[in-house]
Amino acid sequence: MHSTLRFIAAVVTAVWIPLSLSAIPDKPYPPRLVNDFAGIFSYAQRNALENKLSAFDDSTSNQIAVVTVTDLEGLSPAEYGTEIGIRWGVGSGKFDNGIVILVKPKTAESGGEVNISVGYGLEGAIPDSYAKRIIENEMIPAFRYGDYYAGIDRGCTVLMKLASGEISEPSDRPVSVSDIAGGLIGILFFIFIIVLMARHRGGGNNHGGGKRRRIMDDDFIKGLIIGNILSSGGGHSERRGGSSFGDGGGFGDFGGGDFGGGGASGRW
Amino acid sequence: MKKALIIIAAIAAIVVVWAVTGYNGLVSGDEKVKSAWSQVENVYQRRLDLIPNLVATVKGYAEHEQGTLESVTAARSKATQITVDPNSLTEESIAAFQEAQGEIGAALGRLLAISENYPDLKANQNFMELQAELAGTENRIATERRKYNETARAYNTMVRRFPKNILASMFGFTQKGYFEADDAAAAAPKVEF
Repeated sequence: MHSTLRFIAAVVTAVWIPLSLSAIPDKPYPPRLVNDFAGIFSYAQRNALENKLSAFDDSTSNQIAVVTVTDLEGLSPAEYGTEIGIRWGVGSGKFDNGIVILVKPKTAESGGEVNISVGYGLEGAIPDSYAKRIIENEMIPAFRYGDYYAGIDRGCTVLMKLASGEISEPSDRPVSVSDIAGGLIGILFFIFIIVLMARHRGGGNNHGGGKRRRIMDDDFIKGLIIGNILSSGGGHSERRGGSSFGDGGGFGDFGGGDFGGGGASGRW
Repeated sequence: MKKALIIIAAIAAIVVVWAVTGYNGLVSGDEKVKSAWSQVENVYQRRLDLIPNLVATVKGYAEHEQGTLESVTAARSKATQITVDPNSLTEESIAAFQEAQGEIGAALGRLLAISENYPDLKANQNFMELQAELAGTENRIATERRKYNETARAYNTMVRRFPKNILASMFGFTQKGYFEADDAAAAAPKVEF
């Protein structure tokens, strides 16, 4: 009798456990790094993010997948994110260097949830406490304003720097208005210097052929300035909106990376 | 006569090939379960390693909570004594391991609950990082346990299914135990922020 019960329990567990995680969406086809199931990005934002992440994949082989959903299907954000990483195989199978960023946007009925899952291979570069800092300091401040793109974009930038070893530690304080203003002042100063240089150089090039070169310089500098303004576009916006990469960027496919549950979650 | 011999030899050869590949499949299945188990032990060890630092940090802010702090330390030292031989991953040994680790989970849950009463502690950078590491470790434990159960289930199916079960019983491959879903009392501490 006892063994019959145990057998039934075993069968129920065997059937039930896979079912409980079957709410995870299937791997997208064609493969995409940005999967906005919740519809929180504009078309241009999605493209910009996809291009940024697929360029990072191309240059470093680290894969960052961004997934947004409206419902976590009763799972914790950490379980959900880890399971997506494992099922889709984010990161290369050799290095397990994948990251999954999961966002469940805030609604009138439920709070917002965000999770960063880190593949086995990146657990050293991005310990849980760093993932937590990125969530609290880079992402949630922007999410509170409803600017999902800015939060994800900032978070991705820091994750990329950590994964590629460019920095060894993320900032330990939240972004503030003054940070953004500081950035703007820096950009304005940069433009000012370039304009000064342009004038100076233009003045010194009066000998033969100088005029032609000056025009070229001017155009080049204008391009630089315009490009710079466009690419820094106030922190949140349609950067690289009409990019020539088009849909799907150059992303090939997920590489079969594995996850052990590392990372952090946050809510707002 | 000669024909019959050839047929018998051919059947014998097929049986030998089947037995060898079957045996090797069982061996590699067994190894997979063992390596999944070692991952489980790693993540539990990771939690054990976080405890001394956590206890020391909390002690600095919450001296009056000696009882709770001691229960965490006691559960930890008890759990370190219960180890599982990876060669005998029986239901009983896993249950004993799980029970000891579950006590740590419960004690840690109480510790984190009382830390809510100490705003200075909650604002401590070191404590916040430890909390993040602890939350990540709980998710690692859940992940590796699930992976272990999946690996063990695939292996157990192999051991039980005919005709491999004949080989398995001949060479002493026995079924592996599973992790049971935690009951509410021993559930992993829910780290809220």
